Amino acid sequence: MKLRMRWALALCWMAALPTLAAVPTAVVPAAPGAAAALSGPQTARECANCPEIVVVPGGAFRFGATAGDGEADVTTGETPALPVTIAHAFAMTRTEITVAQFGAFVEATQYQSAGDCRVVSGGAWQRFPERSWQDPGFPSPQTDSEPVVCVNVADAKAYAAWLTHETGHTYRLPSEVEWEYAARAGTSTARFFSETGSDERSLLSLACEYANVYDAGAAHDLDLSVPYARCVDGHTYTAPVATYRPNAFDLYDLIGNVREWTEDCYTASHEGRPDDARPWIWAGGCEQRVVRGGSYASRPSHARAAVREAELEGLRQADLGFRLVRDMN
Amino acid sequence: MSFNFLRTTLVAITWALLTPPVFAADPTAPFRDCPDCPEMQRVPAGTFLMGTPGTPAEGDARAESQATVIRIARPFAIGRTEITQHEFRVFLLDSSHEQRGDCVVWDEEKSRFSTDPASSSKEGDNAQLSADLPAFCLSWQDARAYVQWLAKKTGKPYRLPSEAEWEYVARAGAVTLWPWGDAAADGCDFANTYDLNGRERYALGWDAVRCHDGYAEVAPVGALRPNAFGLYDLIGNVAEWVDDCYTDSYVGRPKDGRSWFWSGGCRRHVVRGGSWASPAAQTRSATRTPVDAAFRSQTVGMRVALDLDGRAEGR
Repeated sequence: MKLRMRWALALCWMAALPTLAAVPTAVVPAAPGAAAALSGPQTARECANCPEIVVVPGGAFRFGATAGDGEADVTTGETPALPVTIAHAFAMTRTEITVAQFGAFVEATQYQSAGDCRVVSGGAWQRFPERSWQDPGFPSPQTDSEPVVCVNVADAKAYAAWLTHETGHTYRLPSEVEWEYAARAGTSTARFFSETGSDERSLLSLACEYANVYDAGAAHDLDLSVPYARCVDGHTYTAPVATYRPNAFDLYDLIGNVREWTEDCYTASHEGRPDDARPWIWAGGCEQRVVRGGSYASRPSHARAAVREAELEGLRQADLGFRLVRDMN
Repeated sequence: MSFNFLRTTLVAITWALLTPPVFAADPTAPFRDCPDCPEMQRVPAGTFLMGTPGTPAEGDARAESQATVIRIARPFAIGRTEITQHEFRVFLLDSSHEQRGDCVVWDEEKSRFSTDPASSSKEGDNAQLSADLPAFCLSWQDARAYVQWLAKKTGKPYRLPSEAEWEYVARAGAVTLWPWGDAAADGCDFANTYDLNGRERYALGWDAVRCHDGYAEVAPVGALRPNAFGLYDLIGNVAEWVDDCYTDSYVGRPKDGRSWFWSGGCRRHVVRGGSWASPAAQTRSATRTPVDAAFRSQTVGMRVALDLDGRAEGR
């Protein structure tokens, strides 16, 4: 019943929209304001269970923290910022991949994703064999529209491969550059909602309107012993995707909710990386991948567009999910 | 049955008498795979600390200070010396490889290193010099072309050393700043760097190491003392290309002897060891210098590495 309703909704919605093929793929220079023209028709959903995608125009931007950003972490390579050009428009999922979307893939393919997920317990991240994407052990179970968590790089790639097979279009993890470009949506400030400076000390944070971060409520419930955003976002754990306000590219939750896998291998520098949209990966494979955006459990200084975190690619954690990019060619 | 046995025995005895006795080759002895091939030295597997914890910040020392434990799982072979002018010339004459771009050389008149096509060291110029001097004025592409040619020529997996392998053999077990200790001025028996001999001849504009190594400029390979692995001139003489791409962090690099190479390649590679013109800070075992792959300089050359076959392992 519930499923049928969603089907019907999705079909109506698809009929009302022009298909992605009609979307112009011209390179649009990135500028705040130019992005406003992208909302509305430049979105699509390629199958009933597919995530909604949004066209992100090509453009140039500065990848990394702005000079003088007091929150920038000089030990992770987010400084100095690197001028990067994204030559072609690409499409990105409007939200993080949800429990329902990942569930449809698992149901269709009988994909086995092991548990062994790390969840917050007793004020710290601890691994539990029985915790998995189906049950990350939150006090109340995740709803279908919350972002899937406890998925590692292999899980995310298996989902992307399935989506590629289902739609005939290439879905993949975003490169780190694509991710930050999308997260900035034309802004050069630490966060798309223009909160600059270290809000870890400020009395009131703007973050709770735009992102599910480690807020006062989460600090009370999770007790992670790190600074929290001085506001209340209403969610201790994952929030349904698109609960908060979108950025200028009409993308949701790039900051906060769950941290997101990218394709890039991690090293603590930008020196030598490609200065375009390509992922930076080692010929022999990488141990750690770059994880971006912060989560419901990330302190304010880790919920920024430029923050780089590294995780072993096999890690499953209850604040770690993903979104995908769809190539436009 | 018994006839067969007898025949087998006879054949075996005859075979044993006719076959010259096989002496087990000394696995530690240097070898060459052809008369004009570089002389190779087998080095053991081992674990070492790559980098220098707490390196004083001097330019690009950031990665170096993130010292990383590297485990070289298999023995391999490395050139005892830098590739010589003779060895490189054999390659150029035998292949269609063309060296491109000018070479940065010391300009007597301007009293500095510069790119001057008229005085660049071309193949023809090299021919007039001693065949035992190390080859220089070769780009990373040239160095790569040489090892590819050598691999094809010998049918053996010759290649450029990885950065980790290079530092492993340069240290040869030493944990000090230089293979001989923590003072640059103690190294003149081992390394041809910018020393007092060099300063008498060239005013390069930086401090000279305060000892005499006997050479004002590039020296014939193997002229000074070898390190504990029996290898010459890792430090000094000419700086040496390694295979790896350059970034200024060691975080995420392979923890074994493999080269750290980007999918899709890279613009800058790493040069190691410093040269006859290098001040002390550039000649430490752990010092890294990023250089464009196409760059050619009078102070940069190469040595080769070779994967050993399975039979050589485990001894």
